[in-house]
Amino acid sequence: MMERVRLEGLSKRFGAFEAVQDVTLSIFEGEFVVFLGPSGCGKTTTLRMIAGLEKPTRGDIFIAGKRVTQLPPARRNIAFVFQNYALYPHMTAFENIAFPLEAQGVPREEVQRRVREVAKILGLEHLLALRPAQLSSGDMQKVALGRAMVRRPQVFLMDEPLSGLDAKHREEMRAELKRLHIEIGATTVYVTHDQIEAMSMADRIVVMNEGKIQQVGSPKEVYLHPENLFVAHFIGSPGMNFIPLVFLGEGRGFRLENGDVIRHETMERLAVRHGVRECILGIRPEFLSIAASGEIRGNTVSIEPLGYKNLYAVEIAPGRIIRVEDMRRERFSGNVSLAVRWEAACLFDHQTGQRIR
Amino acid sequence: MVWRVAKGILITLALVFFLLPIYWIVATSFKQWPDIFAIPPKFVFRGTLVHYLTLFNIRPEEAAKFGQVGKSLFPPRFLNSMIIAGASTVLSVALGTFSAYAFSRFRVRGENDLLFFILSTRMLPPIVVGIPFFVVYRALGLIDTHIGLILLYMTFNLSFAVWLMKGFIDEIPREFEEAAMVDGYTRLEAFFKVILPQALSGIAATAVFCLIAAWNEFFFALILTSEKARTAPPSIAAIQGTSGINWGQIAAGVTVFLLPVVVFTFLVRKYLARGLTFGVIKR
Repeated sequence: MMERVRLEGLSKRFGAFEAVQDVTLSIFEGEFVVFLGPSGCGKTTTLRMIAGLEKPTRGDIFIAGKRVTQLPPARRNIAFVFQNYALYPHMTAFENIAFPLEAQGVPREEVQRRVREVAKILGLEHLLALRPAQLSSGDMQKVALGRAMVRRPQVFLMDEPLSGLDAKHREEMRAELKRLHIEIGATTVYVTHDQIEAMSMADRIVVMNEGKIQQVGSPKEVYLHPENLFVAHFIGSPGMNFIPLVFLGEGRGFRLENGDVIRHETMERLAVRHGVRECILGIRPEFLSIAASGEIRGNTVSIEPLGYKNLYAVEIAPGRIIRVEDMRRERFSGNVSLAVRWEAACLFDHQTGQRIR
Repeated sequence: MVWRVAKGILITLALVFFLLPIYWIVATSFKQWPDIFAIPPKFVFRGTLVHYLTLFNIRPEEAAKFGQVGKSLFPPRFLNSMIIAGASTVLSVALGTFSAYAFSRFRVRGENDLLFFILSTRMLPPIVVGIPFFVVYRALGLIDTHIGLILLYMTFNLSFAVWLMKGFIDEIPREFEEAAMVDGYTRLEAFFKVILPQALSGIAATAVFCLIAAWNEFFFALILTSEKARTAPPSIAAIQGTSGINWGQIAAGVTVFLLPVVVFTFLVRKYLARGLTFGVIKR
C-alpha cells in the first residue's frame, strides 16, 4: 500500500497549552482514517496542520511523499470540508463547486463538465443555481463535499462534517459518505467526537486524548483490544467496565474489592509476567452475563429494558457499579452473580493504565 | 389602539423636528427675495430658480441685483468638496478594511493597546489640534492643497473605519477564507474573492459615515485652505453680497450640497440593510 500522508513527531503549542504532542502516523492510499476523541484532544488541530491552516510547532508533514510542512494550504492539493460548510454565500452552488477549479485555471467547458459530473454523483443537479441560503443543511453539506471532490485532491480532510445535521440526515449522510468513499476511493482523514460515526465509517480509528495518540487500529481492534483505560472507556456506549483487582500471586488468583477471590490461569500468567500487583479487569457489558454461578457477586441497582436486551446496573462493591447486558427477556433483580467471558476480558496495569498483554 | 395613535403622533413629531430645517432650506432656495424675509413665513409662494442660476453663474447678470461682485465661487469649491471627501473616504475605507482584517485575523502583538491607541485619536476635539496642524502644514507646504485636506480627513476617519470594519469582519467566519485558501487561493486572493464581498455591507456603512464626516467638515477646511483647495462648507457660509448675507444663494448652495450625500446613501442602501450573509453559516 502506498503511503499518502505521513505525520512525523507533529506537535502544536498554543502559548502554554500543548494541543498536539508528538503525533506520528502514516495514512495509506484510499484509506478512511478517523480521528476520534473528546473535545480539546487535538484532533482538529492535527487536521488543520495537515491542511496547512495551522503551523506545527515541531515535526513534519508529508503528502504523497513530498514534505509540505512549510507550504501554504493552496499548494498542498488537499480538500477540506468544514464543520459549518463554509459555503461562499454570494455564490451559487455551481459557483461554489467551481471555485477550486477556477484557482487552477481550468478551461470553462471543463469546469462545466466536472461540476456537473460531481453534482450528478451527489444528486445536486437541480440545485446548482441556488445560493447557500436557499439550501437545506443537508444539501449545503453536499455542496461542500462537491467543492472538495471536484478537484480530485490527494487527501480529503473533514472536520466534523455531520455535526450540523439532525439525527436522521446524519445517518443518511454517513451512508452517503461511505458510498462516496468506496466509489471514488479517496484517501480521507475525518475528525469526529462521535464514536458511532467513527466505528461505522473508518478503516482505521486514531483515538486521541490530551494531544496524544492513544491508539491506532481498526474499529474492531479499538473496541475489543483497547490499549489503555482511556480508549477502553471512551469507545463503546456504555464504556468498558473497570473492576479493580489485587493480584495475590500465581495459583492464588485476584482479590476483588468485596474480598472474593477469582481465579483465571491466563490472566494470572499475564500478571506474573508483568510483575503487577494492582490491576484492573476491563470487560464490556455484553461480555458479562447473569449466571447461576458466576465469578462476581453483586446486587442489581437498576434495569433498562432496551427491547431486545436488558441493560443492568450491578453494584459489586460499595459504590462500584458495573453495567451488564443480558440478552434474555427474563428480568433479574436482587443478588445476582455474573459470568465473565474471559476471552474478551482485558487486564490493565493500575499504575500506568496500559493494557497488559 | 391608543398606543398606535400615540406612536403615530410621536413619529410625526420626530419627522417634523428633523425634516423641518431641511424643508426650510429647500423652500428658501426657491423663494423670491422678499418672500425669504416674510413674517409670518410663506408656505405658498411663487418659486424662482434665480438663486441656482446665479450660484452656478448661468445668469451672472442677475447676481448683481443681490449685490454680488464678480462670479460665484461655488462650482469649483463644490468640485473640491467632491474630490477631497471622495478621495479621503476611499482611502480611509480601504486602509481601515485592511487594518481591520489584520486585527481580526492575525495575532497582533499588543492588539488591544493598538486598537485603543487608534481609537484615542478621536478623543480630543479637533479644534485642539487646529493650530499645530496649521503650523505643520505650513512647514510642509500643504496649506491650501487637496492632498493636505485628503490626508487630514483620512486620518480623522481612519480610527473610526478600523473599529467599524473590525466589527464587521469579526462577524465573517474565518472558515470562508480558510476554505478559499485550501481551494487553491492565496490569502490576498481569498480576501478579495471571499471576504470583501461579505464585507460589502460594512464597507457601505463605513463609507457613508466617512463621507458625511469629510463632506461636512468645516473647521479645518476654513483654516487650512484659502482658494485652490477650499471646500464648499466654508465657501457657502461666506456667500455675501454688498447688501448683506445672500440667504437665497446660501439656501441654494446648501440644497445642492445636500444632494450627493443623499444620493450616495440611497445608492448603498441595499448594502446597508444587512442580511446578505444571514443564515449561511451554522454556528
